[in-house]
Amino acid sequence: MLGSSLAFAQKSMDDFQVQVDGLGCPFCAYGLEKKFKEFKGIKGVQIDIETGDFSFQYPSEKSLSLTAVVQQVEKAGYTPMKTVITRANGLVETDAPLAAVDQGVAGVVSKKMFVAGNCEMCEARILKATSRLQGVAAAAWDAKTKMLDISYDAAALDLASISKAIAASGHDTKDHKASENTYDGLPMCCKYERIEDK
Amino acid sequence: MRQVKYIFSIVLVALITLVSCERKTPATQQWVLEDSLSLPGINPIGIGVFEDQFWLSDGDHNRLIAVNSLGQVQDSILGLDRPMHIDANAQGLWVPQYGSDTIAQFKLPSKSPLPLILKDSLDAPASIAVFGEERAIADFYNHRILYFNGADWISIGTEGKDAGQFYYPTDVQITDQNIWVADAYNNRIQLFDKRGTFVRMIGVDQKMNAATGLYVSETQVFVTDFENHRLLVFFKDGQLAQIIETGLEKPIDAIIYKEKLYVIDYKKQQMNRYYFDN
Repeated sequence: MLGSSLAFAQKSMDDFQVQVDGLGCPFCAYGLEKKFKEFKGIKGVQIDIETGDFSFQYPSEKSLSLTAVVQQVEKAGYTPMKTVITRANGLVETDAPLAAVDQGVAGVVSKKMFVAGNCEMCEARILKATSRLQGVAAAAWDAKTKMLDISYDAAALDLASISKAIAASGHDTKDHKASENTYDGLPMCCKYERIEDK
Repeated sequence: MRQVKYIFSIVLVALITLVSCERKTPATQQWVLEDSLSLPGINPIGIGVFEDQFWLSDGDHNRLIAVNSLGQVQDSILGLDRPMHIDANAQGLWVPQYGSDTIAQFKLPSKSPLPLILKDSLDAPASIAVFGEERAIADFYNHRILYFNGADWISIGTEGKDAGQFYYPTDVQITDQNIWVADAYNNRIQLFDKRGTFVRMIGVDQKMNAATGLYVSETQVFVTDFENHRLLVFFKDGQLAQIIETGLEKPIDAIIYKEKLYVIDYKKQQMNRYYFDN
């Protein structure tokens, strides 16, 4: 992956790859593109509406920072989930969390959990919440069944902590509810049906 | 005499009940899928009809494409900047260019754009509607509708969720009495009079997920529910008439032409044709 990014980067251009939350339709995708046109000299803008993958190249001499990219995504009305910059000289900068635990670590258990959500953007947000937890080995969420399959190191983490972290990201679980503020801040396409209080 | 009054009252109640129930009874008349026209390489966003040709805005490829009723490409206009929900009238095609904040008019067969001059600035115009001398523009990032009544422009709405407010409006249509707005990310349709006064909302109970496209006929309102893969059909008073899911994945705009309903699908690259089954 890194190799292909390096190969793609032009000598004088930095390569930017951003995973964006909240892109649901062409209106959103073109809107993001429009806001990035304010960066004079931007080239090769590509947006995948389905996955939220957004990439472009920018002249390396302008040293566009990761912070500036994140701020511009937010200005466009969306949430950057992960940003990776491959500089023209080969250096890589990212705000992505490091992988926590290998699948083969002793003590890793697999559980299922109901997590409310609607769409691919919800999926990205839920998985981002889990990936930030120390001890998570793997996670997958199904928008149809609303079930999260998660593998984690039981010595480092428990299901309640995972549930809390997911709720903090804006998604109700059976044991923890997202706050009203966080729920209200979700993109409209992610406004799932709230789990009723017991 | 009392007996006559009693019978009259019963008949009256029965008549009122009959009339009031008339619209509550699900219509047996339904739109039915007739066929799907494949549009390979075209990701349609908006649709308009000019001189028997369907003009489609293909935002992904910065162009307009004209197809006939068989889906065959007849013409094109290239070099646009993210054309969105277009409109057409006798004067030609009207095209909002989302990427350049402009509205272009094409007096076909000329393909030289004539800019619509505005005193106000737009931020991502998503739709243009024309009706006689009237114009309306869905101004996406400014969360408002700009409406020209033939003499003056007025601005309708602000960002928000309350009645009369918008959250990323994406489509607009003008009819005899009203201005109809697809309030996309509030997941509803809003109706205004021509002074810009809010009249009512439609579809708030339908759990739409991005009401991206709108078409208003003489009797019905058609709304594309983009993320839910369906088209909702309402009567103009807001009562749901039909939910169309057949053949749809990412529906984004609709139009009625020669009594057929045409719905374009952004992801499937196709145009579905439906007939009204009596």
